[in-house]
Amino acid sequence: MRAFNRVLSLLLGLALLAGGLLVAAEVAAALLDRGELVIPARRWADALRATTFTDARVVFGVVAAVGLVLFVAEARRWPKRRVPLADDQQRSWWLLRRSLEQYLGRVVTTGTAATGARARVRPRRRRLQVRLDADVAPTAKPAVEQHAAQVLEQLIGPDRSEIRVRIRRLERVA
Amino acid sequence: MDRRNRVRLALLGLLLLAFGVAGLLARADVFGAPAASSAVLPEGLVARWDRYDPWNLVAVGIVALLLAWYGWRLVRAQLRRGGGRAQMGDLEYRAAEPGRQDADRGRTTVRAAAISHSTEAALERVRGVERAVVGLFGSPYEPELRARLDVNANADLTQLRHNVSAVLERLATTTGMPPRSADITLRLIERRQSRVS
Repeated sequence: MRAFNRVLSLLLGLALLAGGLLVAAEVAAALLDRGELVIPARRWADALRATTFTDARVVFGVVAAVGLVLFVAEARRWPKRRVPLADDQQRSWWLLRRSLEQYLGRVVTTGTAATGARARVRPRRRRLQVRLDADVAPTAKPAVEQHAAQVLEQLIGPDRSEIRVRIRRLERVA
Repeated sequence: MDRRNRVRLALLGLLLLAFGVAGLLARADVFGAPAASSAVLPEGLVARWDRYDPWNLVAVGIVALLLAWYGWRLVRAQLRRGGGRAQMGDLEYRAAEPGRQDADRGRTTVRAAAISHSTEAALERVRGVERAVVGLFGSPYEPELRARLDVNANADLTQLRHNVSAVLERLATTTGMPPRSADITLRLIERRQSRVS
């Protein structure tokens, strides 16, 4: 979302810059009686005078839909990019959430009977909430939880995480 | 930067939504007068617009220039490293004898890029750090340091933090500029062979 917002803001800035300069140039040309440069303002004004609200309903609908989607996307809470690791004096330490999720998934897959493990980490007030989706037999679930807890304790310290393993598909025990 | 972008884009979304809904409501004759069959640009508005000629054009020109200026600021902020923060300037040391300061005795300038590159090199020598990217922002005498470190996932993070802190303290001692704040983000990467340092 952060990268998307940055690209969208860049495009918005470019549009404002180019549009603003173009309109200013058109205004200068009009004040000097040089006619229209690029924007056919008269033709556009005539078209708007001939267009009724009923004719333009699709345009209004699309604009409202785009506005709604943009507003909802920006207003909703997206998972944070970083999770807090520690805070000492003037230094703040963070872990990139995605790298932690990928690492946890790999470690659980290689270190336990689970296969295809995928981790989802969400920072809560003082703890990290971790959800592990894995293909594993129910009997092996505590071992998976324990292994993930050990790895997290090593990384972020003791008593800082809440782990929940969700079985995606039962794995047969060989 | 991200928060500002979010607020800005959310407001743009609201503006578009309001515009679209107003158009749809006008079409549905909600505003009292039957507007569904009236023009989007009514003649009355055009006549009023023409009455203020040429000042209407001057006003439009000024607004357009202001929007272009805002657009330029927006583009510049997005392209800047460090989320729109001002990059740190070069560090200057004046030659001075104890108790005296003479501007004509010369000065030594240390480029900000040289400080950040040397910090990156020092951080990459820390055991467990594979790659470091450092940005220095704000005043050169009390900068804000932001670093992203790619670290070996098998490294002891407590020890790594301790070693990184030692590097930052050395930086403060060498340059005489203690960072006002340091924001350090670690990215876990897996490496099969551990390095010896």
